[in-house]
Amino acid sequence: MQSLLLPDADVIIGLHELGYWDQVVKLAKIHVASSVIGEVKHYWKLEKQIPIDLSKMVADGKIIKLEGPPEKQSELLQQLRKYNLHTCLNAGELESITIIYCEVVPELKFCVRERPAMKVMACLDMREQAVSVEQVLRDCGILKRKENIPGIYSQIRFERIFLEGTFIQVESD
Amino acid sequence: MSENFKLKLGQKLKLVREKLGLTLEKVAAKLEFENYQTLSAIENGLRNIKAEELARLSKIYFRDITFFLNLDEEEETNDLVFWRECKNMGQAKEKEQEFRKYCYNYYELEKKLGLPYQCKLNPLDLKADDFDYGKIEEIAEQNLNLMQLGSRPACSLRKILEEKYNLKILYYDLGNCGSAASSVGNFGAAVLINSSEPLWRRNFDLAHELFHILTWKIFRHDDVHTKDNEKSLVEKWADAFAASLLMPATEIPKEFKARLDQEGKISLVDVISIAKEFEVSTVALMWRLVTLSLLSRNTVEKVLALHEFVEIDRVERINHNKTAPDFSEKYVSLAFQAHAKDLISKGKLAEFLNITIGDVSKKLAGYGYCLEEISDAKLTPA
Repeated sequence: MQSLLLPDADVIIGLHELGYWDQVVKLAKIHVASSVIGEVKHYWKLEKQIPIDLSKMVADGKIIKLEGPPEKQSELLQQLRKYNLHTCLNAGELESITIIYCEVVPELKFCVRERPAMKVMACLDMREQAVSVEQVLRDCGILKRKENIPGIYSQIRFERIFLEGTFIQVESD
Repeated sequence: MSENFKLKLGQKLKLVREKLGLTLEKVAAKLEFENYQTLSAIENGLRNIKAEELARLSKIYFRDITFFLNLDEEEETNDLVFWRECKNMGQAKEKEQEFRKYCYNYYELEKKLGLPYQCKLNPLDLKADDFDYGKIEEIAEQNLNLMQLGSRPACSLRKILEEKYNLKILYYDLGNCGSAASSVGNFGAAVLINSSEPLWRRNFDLAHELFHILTWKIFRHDDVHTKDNEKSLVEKWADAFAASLLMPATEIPKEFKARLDQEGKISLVDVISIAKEFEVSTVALMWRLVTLSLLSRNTVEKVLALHEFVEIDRVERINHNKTAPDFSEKYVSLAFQAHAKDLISKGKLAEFLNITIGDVSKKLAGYGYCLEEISDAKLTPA
């Protein structure tokens, strides 16, 4: 069964830079938060700006656009105040986490590498609904057993940051 | 979406739009709506707003999306903005809000990093009646010494005001809205400079705005902005303060006299070279030389009317016109630190730098920061 993924804007750009995006789109069912579509415009490779057109991919049916309702985003923000994490995310990240939080699509996982976003997920007890880039690439069979990717996408880093997020949760609760 | 949320959010959106002086039609066009009735329906709580529409409106209105999502959050107090040479107050409203947004971004970064945000400049303890041109010269000299600006004040003014006195300095293209603006609010004190102006003009504008910050509680808005768009007396004093601060009465005569020839005359090229050295405009220097009784008013008026002089000045300065950065080094440093310490995400960092997420690494590299290498590194104390 195909993985259901909701990649963060930064992950979408990272996958383009690594050259894995097209393969991931074929092998997993990719969803994107509506605000993320406006945030991802291009990436850089060898000093050359290469455009990314997510709207076209949505229109072509290659990826699915999802909406995180503003009212639910507002409710989520209220919860984040307790952990002082309510001003650390941008619109796309907040909408993405809202989509996961409200279970707009069951079994959907947020593919993320941004530390503040991961900490937010940890504080909201949403570790199981998040996945690292490395894990995605291994699950899809794109990354072989002995192959490595840059540390910022690694599973080890991902686990460590979630653990840090859990400490914030415990201290605040 | 509940009716209450829809209604309250709509009211908030309407309030903000009206405050910016924007019409429904104009905003609807920016949102690429087919007609303005859709936006009107959102504002009146008759239609659900989509997440992406709210994200785009936040950008158009220069507010953080969390401001709209937190329905109980009141609009920040109406921080007053003093404009310099504002030709279109209508257009200036949007620029004012953009200015406020970055002032509050700056403040938020300082708060997140646990740094002081209040401006450390001491307001002048004077009354409006105490001011005249002699007093202005005296105040400028006191500040020159107090701030330790050195013999070429324009070269150090920006850095000292920002680093030592916590004055927030922002640059962006103001188009026809004006040369500069200043504001004091909950965020501290801030100055906005038109980045499209040449270096010497930006220096003068900064010194001019410094006068407004120092006298913020002394002069009222009406004292600064006259209804007939004539330069007010306060604005003339601010110009005089800027001239005295950037061209010190102790330094300019020394440089002037050192360049006099055997006949006791000075060439136009030498005057231009002094202006370049002090990073001020040649015109401002000329008038300062009059104030310091080094040239006569009559001589200066004749020189400024010479086409030849204007041309020499232009050519001499062509390579001296450094463009202003989008953001000051301090602001970028704060944003970078906040991201490196996990206080803001990369997406939020992109918002603070007014760029897309894909450009963050490249932008930071331009300021000498490497995003990827530092973010995970931690040192163990000895």
